[in-house]
Amino acid sequence: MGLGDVAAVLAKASGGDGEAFALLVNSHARTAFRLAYRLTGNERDAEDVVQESFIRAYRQLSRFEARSNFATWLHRIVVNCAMDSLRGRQVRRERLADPVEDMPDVAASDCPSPERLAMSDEIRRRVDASMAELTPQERVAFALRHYEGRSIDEIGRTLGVQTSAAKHAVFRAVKKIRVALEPLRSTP
Amino acid sequence: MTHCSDDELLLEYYGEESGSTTHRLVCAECTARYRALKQMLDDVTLEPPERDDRYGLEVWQAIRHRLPARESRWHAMLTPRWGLAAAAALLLAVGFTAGRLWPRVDPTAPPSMALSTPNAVAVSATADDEARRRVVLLTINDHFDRSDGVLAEVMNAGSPRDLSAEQQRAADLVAASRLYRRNAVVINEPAMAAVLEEVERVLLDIVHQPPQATAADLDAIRRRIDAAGLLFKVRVMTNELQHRLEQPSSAPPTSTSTIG
Repeated sequence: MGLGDVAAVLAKASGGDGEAFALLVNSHARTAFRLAYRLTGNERDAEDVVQESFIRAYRQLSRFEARSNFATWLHRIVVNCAMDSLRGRQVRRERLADPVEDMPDVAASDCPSPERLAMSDEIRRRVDASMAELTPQERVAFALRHYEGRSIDEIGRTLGVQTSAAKHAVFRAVKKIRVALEPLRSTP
Repeated sequence: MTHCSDDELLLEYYGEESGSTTHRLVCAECTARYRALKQMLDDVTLEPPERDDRYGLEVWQAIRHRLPARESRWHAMLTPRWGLAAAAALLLAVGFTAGRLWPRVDPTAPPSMALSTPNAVAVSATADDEARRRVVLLTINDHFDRSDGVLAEVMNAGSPRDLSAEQQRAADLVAASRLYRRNAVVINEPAMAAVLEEVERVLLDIVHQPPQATAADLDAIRRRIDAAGLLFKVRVMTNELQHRLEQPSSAPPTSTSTIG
């Protein structure tokens, strides 16, 4: 979709045109899923976050400013929905003391290549475990910085916190991940 | 000498302002620590599972009934509120047009197109003949499915390339589409007719391309398909039709629209 097309579709969608909104969903769903997956770490939650994000976007479309970038606006909504999902997960975990729920999917590979795969699986397992221990803010800040390449300033704005708070959230996250991976470093 | 802190090294790794680089470059100890940090973080990757180009449709189908009700063009077209009077007027017009056009109908056309005869128009106009309605919907569903194939081929074609096979299929689809569109109007499916018309226009574009399409030719068609969200609309329609054909009654939904 070109820029002019996006503006026209947005104008129609803001006016309640479901067809236009469907086109926006179609254009942005895959990007939203990639982001949601990186923030939540598992497919099921990512799917829920994507759906919830588009529903929120539809409800708030009248507040969207035409001059803004829809992708940027949606990005923020996905981050907020992912934060809510992670908070919900944290609350459930505290209630049920069920760490299993937080273990993200470990994708099965069709072509196992012995040691390298075993090592990367172990890294992934440890990273997943340490990520599950992060607060929602630490996790999201780390994912945005590390996987999405967003600047600390940008992360602060997205999360609605000071830059220093965003920075320290990333620091704490990396420290925890580092502790989890440290034993692998000493492995010959 | 003050060594770099872990946090400074981390900021440097991420390309953020840290002030540590100058010292780190001349300090073997800090360089070693930086390398260890880099090696550790480089190993932390997370590749999301792929979602194919139908994912947008899946998300839309999952959320469309959960969206707050708003008026939409498709919604208005798909609900009975569109008005019996308007439908009756349209049927009269279609009956008249179909009657005039009937002698020109291609005799090799698929059997379902017999609905375009004045008698069939009258029968379907009563909206009582569910079996006939289903036949029309089945043929249109098949038509959308085949159109999807041609459009997807064009969207994914390496460029430049020989389009003659797609052009032949597109020409066949265009010939049938005119009749399907008329039938869609007759059974009071204006939204379907609108999408059929949009598809028909793009298929005609494909037919009229030179057989050896250049990259620019293909790009122009792709842009048109993409700008209209045509492939997506076709898939929404196919999905909706399949759903309706699985139900005891294939009449259009009355409460929530297909797409809005």
